Amino acid sequence: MKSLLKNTLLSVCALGLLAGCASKDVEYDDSTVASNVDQRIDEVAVSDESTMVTSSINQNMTDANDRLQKITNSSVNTVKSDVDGKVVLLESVHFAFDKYKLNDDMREVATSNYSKIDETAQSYNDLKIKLEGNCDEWGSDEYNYALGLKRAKATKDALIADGIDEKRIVMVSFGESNPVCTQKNTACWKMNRRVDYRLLP
Amino acid sequence: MNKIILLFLVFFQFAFSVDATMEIVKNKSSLPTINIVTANDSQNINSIDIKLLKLIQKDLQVSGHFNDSLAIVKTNFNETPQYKVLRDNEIDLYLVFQVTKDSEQRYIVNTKLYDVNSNILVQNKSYTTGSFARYPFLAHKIAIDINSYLKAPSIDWMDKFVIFSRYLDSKTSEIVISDYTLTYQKVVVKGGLNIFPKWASSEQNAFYYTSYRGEIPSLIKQNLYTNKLELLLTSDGMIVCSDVSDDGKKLVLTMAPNSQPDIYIYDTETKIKKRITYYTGIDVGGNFVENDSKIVFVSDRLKYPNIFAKKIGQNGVERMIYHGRNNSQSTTSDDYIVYSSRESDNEFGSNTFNLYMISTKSDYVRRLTTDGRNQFPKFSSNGESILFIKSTDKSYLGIIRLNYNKSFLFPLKTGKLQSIDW
Repeated sequence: MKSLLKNTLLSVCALGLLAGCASKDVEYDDSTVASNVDQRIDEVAVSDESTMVTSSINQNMTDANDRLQKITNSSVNTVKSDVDGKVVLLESVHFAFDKYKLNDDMREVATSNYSKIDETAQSYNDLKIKLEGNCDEWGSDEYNYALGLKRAKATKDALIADGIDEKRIVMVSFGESNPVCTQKNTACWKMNRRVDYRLLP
Repeated sequence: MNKIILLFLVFFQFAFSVDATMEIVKNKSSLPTINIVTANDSQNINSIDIKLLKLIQKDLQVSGHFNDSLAIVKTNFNETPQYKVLRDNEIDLYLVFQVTKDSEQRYIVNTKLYDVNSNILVQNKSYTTGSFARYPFLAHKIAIDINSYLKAPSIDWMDKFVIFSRYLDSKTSEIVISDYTLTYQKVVVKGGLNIFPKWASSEQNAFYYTSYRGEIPSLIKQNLYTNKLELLLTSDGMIVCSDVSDDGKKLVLTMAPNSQPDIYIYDTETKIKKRITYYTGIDVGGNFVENDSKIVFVSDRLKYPNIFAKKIGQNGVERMIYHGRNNSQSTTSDDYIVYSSRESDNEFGSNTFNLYMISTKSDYVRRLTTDGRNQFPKFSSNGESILFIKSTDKSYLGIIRLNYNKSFLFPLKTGKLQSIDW
């Protein structure tokens, strides 16, 4: 029995030696490798309005926007344009959920806007009309930018049909980036589904 | 008899010498448990040791390759671990890390990783940064190296930048690069409306984005490190870079040169753009699929947004989704498409948007989210994870780990997420 125990003990010792031998075969990394995380982000640059340098981007529209002011009431959005001191109020046209067609009510609004624009255009040959398409917050943003553009296009077509020269009209879509309200309710979402008219002398 | 016992024991030892960690990795129902410890002589500057500890734990949790890790706060960095005690507590890996500063005030994180089942030190590394703000990338690199030792599926994507734009105010947004947890953030474009950033290549040296600072929307390419700006294209109404080919040479664009939004492919070498769709309604959001031979895109040609595909150079359009009444924002990886589907039709209340994954080669469909507003899905480069935006009263960046059925959310503290890419 003692002999058996002694031999077992020797075996355990042998196992310990063998374990040590086996571990030496396992690779381990004893090197001190400094992985420097800074290489990729030390020199990341920032571009902003003051440093943007491209030859063909025109800053004029940004300056023109500074003269404009929005007036909203409970059900419609109105944009005030200052055309060399003359104030012109143009009501925004609104659209149904997920749609880009003018209904009869909005067609009347578009026609009313045409009258004001036409009157103003008599005095300003270079007058341009900028149509800004907008959406509520639902749906994907890229789809919303396209939806806003289609709304602007429908409004443009109405102006052309009423008699405005197509060359006077420019369009842009702001998708859901330009809300006039941010409440989470039906009335606010309806307000945001719109096309704004801006007059640019 | 004794010789037989000795031989048996020797044989048993050799059998047991197989790498225990490899056996653990192969058995998915038995994930390794790791014990993460901070050294008691770490320099506790801005609580960086605690921040690193928590982020390493989070990375390992997100990887899906480890059981939730345990942490004991302090130990001696050079002390050999008590292997038996660790094994008795079913710990498989033991990581101790130490934070110091060098003479130039750079942070240095020294780590030692021990394989408890083999009783050996298996990694001895150092990581450095000159800025406290960049500590998230130290944590990600440490987690990646631990994962690599285990030979588990790669999580190298954790070290990559995410680029996103966020709305700050009406017609105002900025473009930001961050780590995937949004802990590190750096603004790279500010002033005015700048949206839809998209990496130009997997190297992440440059990105495309849409700028509204000019008279008409413009597609800009910006170098992340030199600030060099290149004006690629302009387009009346809108222009968006929706996807980039694997070799970086071709872009899928949504443009509206005649006020009509359609899909185009732009060759960055020849500077030639080619129109792909001709529908009079809305076609947007194209993505390359099937080795860049096909485009998957969103269209309202059924009078509501849905996902379609078109082989480049051929006529005809194939409908891809046959459920839901509003499917938009797709992303692709090999033969798979993930898209966002609106599952309520309510213009008077909150809507639910869920993410689904389908195959272009079979009828496979899998729902990836269950509630809330989940949009803007983006596949990782290896196709194993999905990045997405979840919106409540706040914006969250979400990660879905497809092979592990887990998702994680990281809140954005400022602004509203507009679009993301990684």
